[in-house]
Amino acid sequence: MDAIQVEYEVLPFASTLKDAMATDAPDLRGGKGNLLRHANSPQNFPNATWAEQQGDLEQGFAEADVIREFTYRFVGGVSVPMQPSGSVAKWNGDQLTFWGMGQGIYPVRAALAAALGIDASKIRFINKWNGSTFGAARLAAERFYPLIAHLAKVTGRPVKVMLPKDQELAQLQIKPETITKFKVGARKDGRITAIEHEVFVSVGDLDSGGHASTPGNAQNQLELYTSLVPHWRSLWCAYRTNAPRPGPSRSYYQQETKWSWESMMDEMAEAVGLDPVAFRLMHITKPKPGDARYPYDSFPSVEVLEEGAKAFGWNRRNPTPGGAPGRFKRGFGVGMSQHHGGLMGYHEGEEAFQKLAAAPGAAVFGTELELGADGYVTMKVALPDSGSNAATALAHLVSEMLGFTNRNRIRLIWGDTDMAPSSDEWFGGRTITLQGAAICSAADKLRKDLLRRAAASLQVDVAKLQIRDGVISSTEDPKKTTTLYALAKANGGTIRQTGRGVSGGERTGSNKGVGACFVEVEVDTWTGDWRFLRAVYPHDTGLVINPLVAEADMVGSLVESTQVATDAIPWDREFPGTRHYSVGYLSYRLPTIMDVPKQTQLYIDSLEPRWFYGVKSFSETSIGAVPGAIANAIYNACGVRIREHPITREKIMAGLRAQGRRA
Amino acid sequence: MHAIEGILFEPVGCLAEFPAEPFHEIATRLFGGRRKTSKSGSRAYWHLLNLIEAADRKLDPSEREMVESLEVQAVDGASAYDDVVPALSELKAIGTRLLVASSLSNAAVTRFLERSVPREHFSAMWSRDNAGGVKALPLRSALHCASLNPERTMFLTDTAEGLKVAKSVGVQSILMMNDPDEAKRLAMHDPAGGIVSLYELPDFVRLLAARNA
Amino acid sequence: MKNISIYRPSTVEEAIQLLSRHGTEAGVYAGGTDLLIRLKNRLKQAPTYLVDVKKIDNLRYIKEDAKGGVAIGTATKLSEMADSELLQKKYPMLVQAINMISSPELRNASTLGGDLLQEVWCQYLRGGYSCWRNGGYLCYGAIGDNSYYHSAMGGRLCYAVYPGDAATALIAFDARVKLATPGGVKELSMEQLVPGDMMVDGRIQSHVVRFNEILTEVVIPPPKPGVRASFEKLRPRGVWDFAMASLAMSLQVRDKTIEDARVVFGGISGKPLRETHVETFLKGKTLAADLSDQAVSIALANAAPLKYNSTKIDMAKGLLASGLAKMSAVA
Repeated sequence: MDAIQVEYEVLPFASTLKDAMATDAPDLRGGKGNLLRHANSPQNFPNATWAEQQGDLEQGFAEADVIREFTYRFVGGVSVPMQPSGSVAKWNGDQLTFWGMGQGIYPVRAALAAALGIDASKIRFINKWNGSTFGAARLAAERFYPLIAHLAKVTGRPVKVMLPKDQELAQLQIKPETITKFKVGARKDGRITAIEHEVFVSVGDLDSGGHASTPGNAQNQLELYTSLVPHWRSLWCAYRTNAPRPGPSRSYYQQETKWSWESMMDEMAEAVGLDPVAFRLMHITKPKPGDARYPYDSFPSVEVLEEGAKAFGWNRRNPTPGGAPGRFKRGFGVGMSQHHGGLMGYHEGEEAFQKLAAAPGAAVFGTELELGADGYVTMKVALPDSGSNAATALAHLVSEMLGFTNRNRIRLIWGDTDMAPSSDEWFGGRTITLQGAAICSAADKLRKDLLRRAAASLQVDVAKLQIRDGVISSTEDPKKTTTLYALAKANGGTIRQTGRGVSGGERTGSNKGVGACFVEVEVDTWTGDWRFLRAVYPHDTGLVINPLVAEADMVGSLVESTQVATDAIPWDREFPGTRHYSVGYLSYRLPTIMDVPKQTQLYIDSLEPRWFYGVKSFSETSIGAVPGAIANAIYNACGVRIREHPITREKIMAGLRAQGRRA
Repeated sequence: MHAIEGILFEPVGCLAEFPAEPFHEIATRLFGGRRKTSKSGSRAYWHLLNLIEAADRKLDPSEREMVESLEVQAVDGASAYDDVVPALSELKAIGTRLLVASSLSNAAVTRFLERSVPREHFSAMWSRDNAGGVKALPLRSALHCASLNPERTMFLTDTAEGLKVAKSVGVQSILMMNDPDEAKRLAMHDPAGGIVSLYELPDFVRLLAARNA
Repeated sequence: MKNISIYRPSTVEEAIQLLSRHGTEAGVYAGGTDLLIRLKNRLKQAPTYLVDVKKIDNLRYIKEDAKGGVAIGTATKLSEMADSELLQKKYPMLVQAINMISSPELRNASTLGGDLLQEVWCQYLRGGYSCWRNGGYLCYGAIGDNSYYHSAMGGRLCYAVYPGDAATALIAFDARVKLATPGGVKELSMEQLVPGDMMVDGRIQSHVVRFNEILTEVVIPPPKPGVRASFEKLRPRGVWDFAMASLAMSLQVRDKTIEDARVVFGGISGKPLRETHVETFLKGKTLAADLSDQAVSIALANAAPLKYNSTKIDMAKGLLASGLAKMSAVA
């Protein structure tokens, strides 16, 4: 077959919120209306999918000296993996070898087996390297797995699917179009008395779950700024549209909602005559020990802002927007982001572990450490890598626990069900946390096992042994030593230990992350051109396992979020209904090495005490702060306030023109 | 696309911007129902044509008079596009046959040609009166009487209905893209081509001639 | 990608014969940084017969001519032009412009001829839409997202902007070109080479070169005395991107009086656009900072922006002010 000809009948469609919310909008839900309402949607807010409130808004506004209303629109965005979505299926008799793309091995294998109606043990699933996945590529790749496996079976030949870039853009989940309305009241001294917050979000073909049901992780930012506000209300109104489906796209619920929060906080600060950092300090959550509402043992929101401002030189900011003289005007901006701090859980040996691991659907992470007679420790991890280099940090953990002063003795086997024990998939801060739990559990067992064997071999009390760079020796008699490889040799060549960790339980809820982004830009007021000069990225990171890997992650975070802020695919101007995107990179520009600013990472080591080595997830938190920070900096530089995302030179130019500037 | 021998013109939306009100009025008076509010003259017109086609009945003399009078009102309120006359002259000069194929009444078409576009540009004038009906009928009559090959004939339109009619008759459906948002929507109905303005039409015809030479 | 054939002629005459034989299905293949992408993206309009000119001996050179001008073979790489001491000495603005084209890697492969004659980069054409330049009869840019790749100065049938920077700069130097044709050598001005919105051999293209003609040489006249020149290019990123707006300006100045002016805008029209009203205005004026406002007020008066690209005009005017300010600051 050379081609399949398809005739399409174009039905009425609504690709934007405006179209979906119009009084004569096309009916996209069989008469139920385009607004999604669920069983637990608020009865007293019939135009909302979800609501939360506190106090009495009317009273709050009555107490205000200054009231302002704002509307912000986030047009949509997507993170595009460099690697195209693709996979390969090859059968050998009734055994399938499958090379996939995405963020999991065993769970994806299980899903594929279920789809094919075979036992999972008949599939060898391999996925090692991914040129980014961003969560979005899971859907884009995984939906094709059963199809190509089936084709490979019936044809008896290996089958590969590889999507062209423009088609991939129709499969990836996106950051959805979001319109946010604020009405904010504050007293003369700056204290906010009331916030009315309404969010309209385009949820594509979703009927429930994700953006279609609740604000999810977006509730973090709501919490960050309402914890000290007596009266507030937040409505989440999810609309069915014919836009692409929203979902993880390097995190979700972030830029689309925080764009508006960070812009609003700046505009309100200006309305009450306060500096944006001071205004935020006045209102951000500052949990106290024993605080039942915010039971976070570590939440250094104040430190993040203050240390960031100091490192950035915030006190040199010109408080007058566009106040700098001359053609080229510089500006400072800030944005904040609150998010989960990674997904916590328990490791083997802890009381809660057994019960959680035994529950149906438990997300259990496993590993095996194998010490060989050559003295190398092989770490087996059934997780794919997406460029984040988690394995380097995991190797760090193993090295440290086994007394090595470098990572040179650690080998890695990963991404293959034939070679590594079962682990769940990763997303949103599960690698160092939960795979790390499994790793540490195995390393702990291996260390104890080695010390026991050495104690027996050297006739020394275990408590009087030390282990360093592959050598175990007596602390009292340096002549009494043995080596790791000797112990392995004595055991027939290898010593193995496994370890497991499980997600869930109390710990996750008590863990929060917070970060900020300080930005300096320069605007050419004659042409609308702008440059991103530098950024300071302070984050509540807990313990940083490997600073280089952490820095790489943070640079990626800033670059990605800058891209989302400045060059969203203009799908609303393309041809909704036919193709949402015309091409890959001509309409979607990733910042290049020439556009990435000087960036300083500031790690606020808050040491999450409930997690056994104090680690926190942070590069997912960080992305939320960037778009607002850039918009705020541009406003400070030249007085042009961009409320409709993305931030473009065209909008800066149009804003300057409206101000009556040159040309 | 083949080289083009002839172009069929429906004045409404293609040669001039017509007001919507008179067509809404006709629709309400003939068929009752809620008055439409669309400001687009073309959309109002084609909506009316759909109603007329569906009703499939002859108008009595008083209805005829009412309809013609309102149509003439619409013609009087129409403003011809700036580039109509130069474009038609140029097309005629390169040998393309130009015909009016309209679902308006004879009276309205005649009035239009008196007011806006000199009659001599066109080699034939078809209205719903001499074609015996609306939509496809004036087009078929024009094609048949001028012995034009539909594949070598263009029909300009700025509505989805117009595109459908063009396709049903087998002529080349050319979208008038003066309103970019509307045109973006209509482009999905797969027109054979599209022009931003009439001044592009002679070059379109020349390009086809060169390609098919 | 469709099956293609590649010829490697060793002379221009041979190349012309091959092009003549295959008509519009053939195309000249130099650096391939435009052509190969069109083939990879499966554009209907991409040629099936590639006539590789890289083996032809006499198309790659940069040499001073008897009058003190410079002749450049069209198969010369952009990077060779950027590295040329001769060009840097005589026409530094041209070198500045070349260095703003694409990226260092691409400049190692792309040729001068390729940059002058490249296909437009409208995202609809490049995405395989059946538009005027790709087997269809409609301009999607005119009705879709035209913020970047489409003309704010009007158009005809196709509204894509002319994307090349070399021509913009070369017009400011009054450069001329030579075309090898079956009937002999034709000479044209650079402006005549790329007038935009052309219908040639039944195709829409930005230039006048016919299917069986080869652009062989660009000749730049000797530098005029007292010339100040500048090239500025606005683009979203510091590399790769085409101009949102660009300006090549050349002023011949004597004792602060502008004796002659060339003002050429890129990125805003279907061709590199000489703004002759501004040129006329500037002639005879004293070069000073206060010229800007007046020059800007008369520039691009017949702009015809599409729905999303009116800021191209504002940006272009900003570049005009910027260029004049820079030039008047030079002692």
